[in-house]
Amino acid sequence: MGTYEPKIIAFLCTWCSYTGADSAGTARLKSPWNVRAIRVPCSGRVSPELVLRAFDQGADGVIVLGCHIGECHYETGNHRAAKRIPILKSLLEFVGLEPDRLRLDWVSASEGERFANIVTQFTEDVRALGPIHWKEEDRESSDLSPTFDISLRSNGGEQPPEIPMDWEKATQEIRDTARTLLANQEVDCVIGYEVGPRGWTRPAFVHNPDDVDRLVWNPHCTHNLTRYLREKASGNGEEEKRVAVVVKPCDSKSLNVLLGNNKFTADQIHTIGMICPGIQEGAGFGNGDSATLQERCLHCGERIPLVYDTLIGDPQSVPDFEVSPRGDILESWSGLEPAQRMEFWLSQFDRCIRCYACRDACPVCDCSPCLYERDDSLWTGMNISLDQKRTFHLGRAYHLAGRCVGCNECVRVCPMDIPINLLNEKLNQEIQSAFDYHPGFNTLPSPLTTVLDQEN
Amino acid sequence: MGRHKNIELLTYSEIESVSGFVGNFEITVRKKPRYIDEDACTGCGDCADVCPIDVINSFDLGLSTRKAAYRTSPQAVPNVFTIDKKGIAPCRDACPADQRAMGYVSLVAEGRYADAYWTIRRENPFPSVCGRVCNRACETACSRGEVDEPVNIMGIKRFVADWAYDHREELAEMEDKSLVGTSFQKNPEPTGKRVAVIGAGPAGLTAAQDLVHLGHSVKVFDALPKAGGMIRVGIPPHRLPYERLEWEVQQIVDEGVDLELNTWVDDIPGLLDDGYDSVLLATGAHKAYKINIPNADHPDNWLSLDFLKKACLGEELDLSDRKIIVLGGGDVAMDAARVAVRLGHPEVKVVCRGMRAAEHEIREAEEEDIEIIRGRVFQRIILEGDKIAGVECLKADVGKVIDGKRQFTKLPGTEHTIDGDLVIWALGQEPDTSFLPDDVDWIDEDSYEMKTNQEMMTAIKGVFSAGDLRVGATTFVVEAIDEGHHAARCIDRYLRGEKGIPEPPEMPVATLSADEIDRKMQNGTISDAERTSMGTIPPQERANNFREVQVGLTEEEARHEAERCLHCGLCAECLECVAACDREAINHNMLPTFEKFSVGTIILATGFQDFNPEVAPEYGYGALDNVFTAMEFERMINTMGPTNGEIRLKSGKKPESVAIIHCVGSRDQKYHEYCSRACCMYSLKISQLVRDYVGAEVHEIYRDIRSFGKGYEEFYNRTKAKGVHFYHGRVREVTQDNGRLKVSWDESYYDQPDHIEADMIILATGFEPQPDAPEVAKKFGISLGPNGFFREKHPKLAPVETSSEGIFLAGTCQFPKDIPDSVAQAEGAAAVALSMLDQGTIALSPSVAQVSANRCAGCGQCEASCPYDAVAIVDGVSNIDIYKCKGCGTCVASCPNKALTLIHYNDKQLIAEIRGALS
Repeated sequence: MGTYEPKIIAFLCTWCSYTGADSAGTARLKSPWNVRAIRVPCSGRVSPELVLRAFDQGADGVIVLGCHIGECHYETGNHRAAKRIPILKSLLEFVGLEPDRLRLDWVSASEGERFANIVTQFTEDVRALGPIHWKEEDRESSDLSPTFDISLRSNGGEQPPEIPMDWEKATQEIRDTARTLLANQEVDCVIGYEVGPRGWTRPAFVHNPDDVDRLVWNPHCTHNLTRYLREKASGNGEEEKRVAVVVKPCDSKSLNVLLGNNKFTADQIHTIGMICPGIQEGAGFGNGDSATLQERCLHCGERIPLVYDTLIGDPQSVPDFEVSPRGDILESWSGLEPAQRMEFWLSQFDRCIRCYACRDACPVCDCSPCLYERDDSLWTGMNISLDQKRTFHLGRAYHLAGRCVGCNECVRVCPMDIPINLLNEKLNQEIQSAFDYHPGFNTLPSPLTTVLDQEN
Repeated sequence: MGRHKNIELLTYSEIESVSGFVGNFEITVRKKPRYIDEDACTGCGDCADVCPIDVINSFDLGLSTRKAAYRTSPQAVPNVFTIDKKGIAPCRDACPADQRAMGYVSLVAEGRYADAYWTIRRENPFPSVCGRVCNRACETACSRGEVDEPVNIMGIKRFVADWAYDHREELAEMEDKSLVGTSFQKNPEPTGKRVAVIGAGPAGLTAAQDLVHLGHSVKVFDALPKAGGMIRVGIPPHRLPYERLEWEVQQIVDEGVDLELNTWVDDIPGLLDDGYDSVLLATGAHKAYKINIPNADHPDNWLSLDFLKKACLGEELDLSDRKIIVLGGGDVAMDAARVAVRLGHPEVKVVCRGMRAAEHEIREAEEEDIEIIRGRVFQRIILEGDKIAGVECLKADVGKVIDGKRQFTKLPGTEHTIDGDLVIWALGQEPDTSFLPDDVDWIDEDSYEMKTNQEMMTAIKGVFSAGDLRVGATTFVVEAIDEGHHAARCIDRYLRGEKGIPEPPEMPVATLSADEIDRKMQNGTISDAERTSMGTIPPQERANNFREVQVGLTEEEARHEAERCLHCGLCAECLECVAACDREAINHNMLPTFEKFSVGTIILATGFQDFNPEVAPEYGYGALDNVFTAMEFERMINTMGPTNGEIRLKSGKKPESVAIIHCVGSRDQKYHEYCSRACCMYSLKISQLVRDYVGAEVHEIYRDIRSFGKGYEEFYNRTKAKGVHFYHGRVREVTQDNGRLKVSWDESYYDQPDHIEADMIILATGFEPQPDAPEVAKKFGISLGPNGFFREKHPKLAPVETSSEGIFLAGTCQFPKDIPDSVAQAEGAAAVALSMLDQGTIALSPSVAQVSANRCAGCGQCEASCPYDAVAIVDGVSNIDIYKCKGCGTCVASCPNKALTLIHYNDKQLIAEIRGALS
């Protein structure tokens, strides 16, 4: 390993650090040859996907150098870099990549010496870490099952109170509301729940007031129905449609995200909000006669939807309560070595069959076609090698940062039981602590797209 | 240049907002109100001559003062005056009658009592009254109250009113300036309209005077034998000598108001039938009331106002053997008690729940042996035979006044009798509406106000109402005066339709922050003396007569008191300038105006700010005398400057030796790292001037002499040849020793002194960015460099352009530079801007963002992340405005689906680069 030389990609802003590198050269300062400069117009141009791509392509370290805050040639382009890159870094750290492999710093055009110092130090740090072992070809064994125990469940903590719920009455109210809305032609479609022929509760799409008696409300209504809104509300080029949708409190958060993301306008949607006592474990498959609540419900602080046009259930029946956050499960990870975390995640990604069920079930993940399902292989290839699955999952996790509301539909539908929700939860936790932002509580844009606070 | 036909110069203006893009900018400019019409002003300066307000002259860098009506310099472009007004002063804002308190206070401070009198008279026909009887809202609002106590504004007003009364014959000969700046005129063209005013109180007479000044013919009726209303029959003579009121009423009559006293009018519709076009009801609130307790109808129960009326009108009353109980705790109760005491010195007790009268009234009443009993509730009047023996009271716990009513709790079992044989009821008063026709519903049951529309008109068309009658309660004289003015405006509008005079505009109020007050108190122009209050004549001299109790301020006291004013509004609004201006150019009611301009290109030339050496204590600036900045020296040698061009020390002597310190605030890690570039050369110039003008020894302490321009090195050599001494060094400190200044420095060359002594020190201060540069940069969408100056697009290849297309830089807003460089850059900027305009088309950078609409999910992250608002979601997909897009690529990076791409930096290219770099 004595001859190991790290490969480093440096994204340099053309207005500052690129010129700074030039200044370093003019001043005859030495910088390591390991650093390969990619010129960009602004550090704000550096998308996290590009950074991932650089690691994919074999970079051992990536450094992004922009203008000092307040000196951006484009006013506030660097503010975005200052928010995105650290979030990406926390994601990579979570899956076991050493944090020293990704660095964001500021170098002005005149700071040749600073440039040389920063890249030299960075190269030395990466050299000390050695190569990354996360490629399929690097791995000796194909048996990737982890050699240590890791808890995927939170250890409970404070339990939410039981909310009394008259399921029959609520079902009737949903039907009455749906009937009125359809009969008055206020909406074209009501999205709700029905019980299918095998006794499983499943999504229902009711277009006719005579059909409303299909609709039900029971402890198995687990699906996040807002996922269907975009399709149902779209007029496909013609007049846009109005849709009523049954939402639980968790679903109402994704409705907020969708509204913030311009998927449709608020006046297109009639929201039938449900007071939710929690959904039972195993719902969505089989009858789910387990009496325990789903884990996400045990940690959910909402029992009344955040937005609704019609509210069903008695809000007076909901006491003030607090639940313990799911942070403890992430904390249990902090004791692990990076190598152990990477081992775990690679073992999980390796089981992925790339069926995209997680993506398709996600209410906010709806680009078409998906960046990672393109035939040009620009962002990742189309086969199911570990490298490509890893890129897909990390990229998707970043895309949901600041938008994921934690409905956990992705995990529910995953045929391989990969706990991908943990990636999203980790990023949400970072965003909460950095920006005090809770996705879904309003329709404001994600903090990753806005300027830094102290500059406002 | 200001007169070039293609150049429109907008001075005294600020950029409000900038929108659009190169070729199509729209700029909104806020023109600050100059209060002087630029087109009419000839720059003669008459306004400044009469202005009573001195302001630190920032053009002379604080070395002199100027007036609030000023122009920056005799060479100002346009050469017109401006009135420096922060807003209306808080005292004026607080006064219901809109009295220009700061105006007359400032004039009194200058000893201009007649001018002060006209300023008071402008809004107030009764200065003698309001100088004696007022609730002093102005003083409550006075900023001086934040320092110690408010200015004694009422005392000053009384002084002016007394001065005017004493000089009334001289005043009659003078030009009456009381109508200057108003819509009123002396002897206006008659309108042929007739107005009847019922009630000759402050509201009625004020309205009558205004209406006469508007050309209407006015007749005032009053049932009483004397004019003045409640002022005349409610305020006893020991508070207001009536001859002064009579003089003021006579002035109103002299203006042409027809006054008919002793006339009870009770046929209002009849007046309209008699040919009056309008009627104003202003009969006040003259009906005192009793509460319903046993024996309140005994004849020895007097009503306060009836009693006061008799006394004020001079009826002979002897109360010497009576024992009097006054019920009530307001000003009327005090008046009744103090009048009773003066009618034979009987025993007088004032019994009340809580005291509401003015503090000095209570104090003076007690001096006059009046007993005040608080915390009592009246139960019944006790009779012994057919005479009153006293009032039975209950003690009560008295609380605060809430919603005008005092809160109290009776304490049961505390019944006791207060002895007395005559009860005077002074609990309150209400309007007497018995003269009004019965067929109209006049009064609002809830508020007791008379029902009027917004224009003060009652249910009968043409009949207006004002004053206490309209309000339904007793108010202060200033409030009645305000009602009178307002009623006159309403009636004028009614009589003349749209041509009638409008309501005055709402002007912003000037408030001083704690910092500003501190600075004003410290700059030495404001007296730090304590408030002087009016005194009283001794109790023994006043107990048995109706001599006025309060003694007005002397001339000296009034002037000293006036010098305590903090001049909150800057402009005092005395309107002396309006009277002085022959061109009628002055309008104190101007408001900011907004103008929009469409322009193709913009050049920013916002300049720099001089480094403030106060932040660098080692130079002694501010702490030591005779330490000047170079700019201050420049003002000093200017023939129009504070010393008329003489170089002199604070003592007035000429300096014998002068030290010039270079690099103050520049080339110094503590302050600014950069070189300010112009200071070396101006320092050399100053050296030569000092040598030539006063022949003093000149010492320059420099770091490096940077004489890099054309002819500059030669200039340096000439300076040396004139015998100027140069020392290389870094100044450590400036100290004072035996009256001489001493400059010490480090790093001196071998065999060279490390200090010198001098009489005068001139600091070659460096350049700083303007303090509002970040805001300006934000408005125009350009960026700042590391030093805070505006950043050019490229230091070598695009030195006048900015990152925003079509916006150019000239001069020191970009970086410190001297005049030749500024001119060169300005001409360069003009040339680039012109060539752009001349072409009529613009070549945009090809490197802009692009959208693949079929991939766009419309999530809007691009819209939120664009620094230039160039991206918007239109019909559910992202849309780039290529004129606004600068090609930073921030949106591209935020697009989760990479539906956006940046031309020349697209993902394919970058990924290929990455691949290549790593292979």
